[in-house]
Amino acid sequence: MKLNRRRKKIEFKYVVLIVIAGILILIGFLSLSVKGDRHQTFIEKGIRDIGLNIQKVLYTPFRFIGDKIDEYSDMKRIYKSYKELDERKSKINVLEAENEELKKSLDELKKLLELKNHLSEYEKENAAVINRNVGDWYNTLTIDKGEKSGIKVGMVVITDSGLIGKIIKTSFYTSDVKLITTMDLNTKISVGVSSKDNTTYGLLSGYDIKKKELLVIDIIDDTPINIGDKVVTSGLSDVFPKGIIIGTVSKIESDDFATSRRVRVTPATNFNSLRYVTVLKGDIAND
Amino acid sequence: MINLIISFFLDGLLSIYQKTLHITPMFSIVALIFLFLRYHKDSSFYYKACLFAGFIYDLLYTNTFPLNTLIFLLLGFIISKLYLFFSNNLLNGIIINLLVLIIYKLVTFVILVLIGYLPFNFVLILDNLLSIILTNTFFFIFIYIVFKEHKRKISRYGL
Repeated sequence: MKLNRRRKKIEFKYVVLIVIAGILILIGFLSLSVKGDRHQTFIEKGIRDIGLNIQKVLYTPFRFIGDKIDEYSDMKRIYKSYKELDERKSKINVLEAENEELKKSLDELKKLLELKNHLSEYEKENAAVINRNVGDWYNTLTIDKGEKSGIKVGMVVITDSGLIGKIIKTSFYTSDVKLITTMDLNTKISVGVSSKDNTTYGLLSGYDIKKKELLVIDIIDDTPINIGDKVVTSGLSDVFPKGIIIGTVSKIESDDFATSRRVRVTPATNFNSLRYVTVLKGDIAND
Repeated sequence: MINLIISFFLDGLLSIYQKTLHITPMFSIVALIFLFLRYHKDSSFYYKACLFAGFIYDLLYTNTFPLNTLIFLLLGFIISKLYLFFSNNLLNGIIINLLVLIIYKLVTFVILVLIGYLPFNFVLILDNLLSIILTNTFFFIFIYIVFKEHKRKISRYGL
């Protein structure tokens, strides 16, 4: 009887150990999978492409209606701009000549300084958003271009308003973009805050979901920063080219230990209505 | 099953407009309740369907395999247990729907905090809870009435 009870106790111990080990392995695997480090298998990519392409077809009528509404509002805006431009037409020839001259000078200066990692160096690939990640917490979206269009993990994604994120996963015909509004604790981007004469550097890290503002931390120098100053990618990392606008400074505060400054940034892009994006195709440096 | 397929694609389609329309569709999870009402006598098929729905949800929408695969299976189990205590009517369905959505949100949050993906901040849970409840309760009522789900009798010991 006693022996039996002891045996049961030992068995129970093993069961608990196996359960704990199982949970730890599962959490480890989930961590690897959710953080985007795991590469998709051929079958996963295939299923994903089939499913998302069916969804793309179903989405076509909605996109068509949306595009028509946008076109109508754009037409109104374009007519207004046309009237304004018509008045400035005479200055265009002079500006074109000036622009050519400036381009040449810029190229020469770049060669002289061996500058790389500039926005102009990148080939651009336009794509449509076909799915926005269902859970609010992941902050990713899916675009309709993948490996077949030359998209690779790590490529930078922008809109005409500014930076929105980077590619984290690719299948043959689709790719996932992680947005900069992610609350993922591991996402950090080197940025510059540009005032009239100076630029100061910090790290874009985090998003205030309540106030809908991005956070730039670790600004250690005393360069003056004003509300309304532009925040752009610094180009100090190899991933994000220099000069992509992120937003404007909306509040300046000191960090919890008063050792550095922290600024709140109103994003330049409206993340609520992303329908078309541009992927910057270039050499991907290992981050 | 048709409920699940429609809900699944609606989740994807509406995800693009969720920020502009201030809705948070989680229709695939709501559809698990209807799937149970339809297949409660064939528990093996029901759990396989939950597992498969979670797997496809992971692959297509969240890219977090096997997070949702396992959570969908857990939700299927919870739904089957809840229907041991609740009879099938609209009000009970709404209560089960709310419980399942809150459990989904809580379990996902806890796992994402545990693996260091999210900061431990309850604001993240409360942020769009109202939108989740309203959107999905409305969807539940709509499907319940349109597909006349009240006509399905649940045997409490059917599983």
